[in-house]
Formats: sequence, C-alpha cells, structure tokens
Amino acid sequence: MPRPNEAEEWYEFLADAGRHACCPCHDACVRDGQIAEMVAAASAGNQQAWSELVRRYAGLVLSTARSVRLSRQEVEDVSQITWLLLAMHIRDLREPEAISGWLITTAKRESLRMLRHRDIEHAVQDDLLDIPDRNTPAVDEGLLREERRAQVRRGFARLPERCQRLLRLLAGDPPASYSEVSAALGIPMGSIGPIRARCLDRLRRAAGLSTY
Amino acid sequence: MNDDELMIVLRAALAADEDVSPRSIAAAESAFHWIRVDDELAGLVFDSADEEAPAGVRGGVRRQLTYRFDDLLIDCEVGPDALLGQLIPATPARIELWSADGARRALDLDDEGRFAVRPAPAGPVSIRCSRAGRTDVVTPWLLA
Repeated sequence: MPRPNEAEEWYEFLADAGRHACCPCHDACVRDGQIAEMVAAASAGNQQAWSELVRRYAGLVLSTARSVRLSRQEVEDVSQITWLLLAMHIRDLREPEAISGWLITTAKRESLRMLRHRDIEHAVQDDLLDIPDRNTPAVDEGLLREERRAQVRRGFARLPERCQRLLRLLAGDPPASYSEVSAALGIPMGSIGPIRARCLDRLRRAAGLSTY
Repeated sequence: MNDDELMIVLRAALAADEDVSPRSIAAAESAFHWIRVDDELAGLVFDSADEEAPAGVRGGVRRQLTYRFDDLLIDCEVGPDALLGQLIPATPARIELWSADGARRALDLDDEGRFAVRPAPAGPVSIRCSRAGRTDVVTPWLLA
C-alpha cells in the first residue's frame, strides 16, 4: 500500500527525469569475457583498459556512495578511495568478470565507514549545537532520487534478458527507432510495440510500481 | 504511470553517466598509477568503523584499525589530531606514509615499534613497512 505522498514523489521524479539530459546507455550486450579481459589488461598496466573501466563504472560507484547520506565532497572521497582500492586489489580479484559487484561492495563499505567515523567524531558537537538526531528521516531530494533510480534499476535487472535488451535500445539517447530495434534484435517491427508493452508491465511489477 | 512515462523513468534510471563530475573521473583515472605490483598487501582484520557506534558515544572515541601480514600486526588509532600506529612485534623497519597525491613521508619508529603522524593526515593514505630482506608490506588505502 503506497504511502500518501509516495505517488506524488514518483511524479516529481518523473518530471525531474524528463528535465535531465540523458546520456548514452551502456552497451547491454557486453559479454562477461570482455569485462574479464578488460580487467586483466588494466591490471597488466594498460591505461586505456583502466580508462574504459572508469567510463563504465564511475557512475555506479558514485550512485552507490550517494545511497548513504553523505555530503557531495564525501561522496567524491568515497569514489576516490574505491578506485584506489581497486588499483591495490586488481591483480588479486577472484572474479574479474564480477568487477561491478566488487566496486559496489567496496563503495558501500567505505561509505558506511565514513558515515560512522564522522558520526563518532561529531557526536559531541551535535549535542552542543542542538542538531537534530541524524537517524530522523529528513527530506533529502538527492537521496530520494537515488533511491528511486536504484529501485527501477533493481526491477530492470530482474527482467528477462530479451526485455532488458529491448528496453535499453528504446531508452537510449537518442532512442533507437523501431527499424533499428528490429535489425538489432531480429524481431519483426510489428512485434516491437506489443513486446514493449509486456516488458514494461513486467518492469512495473518487478520494480514495485504497479500502483502508480 | 503509463508506458511512455515509465520509459522516461527508465531512461533516467539507466543514465549511469549522470552527475559524474570531471573531478571524480580524474581521481578515478589517476588511481591507475597505484596499481600494486610487487608489494605485499596487509589485510585489514579489524576496523572499529565497521561496527555500529555504541549508544551514548561521545567525543573521544577514536577509530581503531588492525592490519595483518603474516606474523606482522600494525595497530592504528585515528583521532582528529593524530594517526598513531604500532608494529607488533616491534621490529626494525622503515615506515613511510604514502598519500594518494604521491607524497611520501618517513616516520620515526621508537623502541616499542610506535609511530605517529601529527596532525592526522587528510585524504587517502597507505602505510608502507620495509624490513631488511623482505618484500615491502603496504596497508590498504585508508581515509583517516
């Protein structure tokens, strides 16, 4: 049952999303093997391979750091240390193809450490300055936007591969045309509309958006 | 939310490059130069910042960390005014504090294996321990 304000929040997110310039979506069809090769090349000293990893995952690391209540500077600090730690560990990664999971886990851990370390340091000052308890949910638009984004991403990740490929093409910037989708996926143009509708229904259910 | 609206939401959710500042990219790129080759990496076996702060904590509780490589432990304590450390057992060694910007600082070690950095360093740091006849040991990057 949605909270009274939740539907409004979604519509605000919708309006806000429409205003942001979209960026090219990452290629959905990269095989695991390609990622492992990229990681191996970077760890062997190939700077281009490293830059490609940065291009692919910088946003993910920042989003992860933002899902915890940190300042803009702290988010950047967490991002920096996450990449430094990758450089330190990259030769030892047990599952190079799962590097995105490693980056998320590391960014999350460093975010929480920063939060807790800062809270301990400032506990006394908060008392003196009468700052509201940090545990009280506060209105924080950036955090809400990240949560919404994460919610949709999680739902999207649960969709069957075929739906993900289709929706990524249609959600691209610029969006692929139906004839481009037909050529890319090898499906008749006439099928695209109905498949899109079914995939979006699945996305609604998977992301918990059915009531909006 | 109709299908067209949902597509807008999805596009925003998938736009991973949004809000990626040039400074974040630059910092991530420069981390390339820190790819570890020959050094041994100490493991972080304890970090008090991994535990929930106990209720009623007031200022004066400092962050405690313990690193381990083989038979060597490095205990650290981070406060606003200093980063303190101790090698256990106290071993003859050269200790350096490395910063992400490339700065290196040699630290004095007393008879009990203790060292100090005053004031506490800003930014990510790694402690490098060089012992005669052995490969250098480095601690994982720490945001003190």
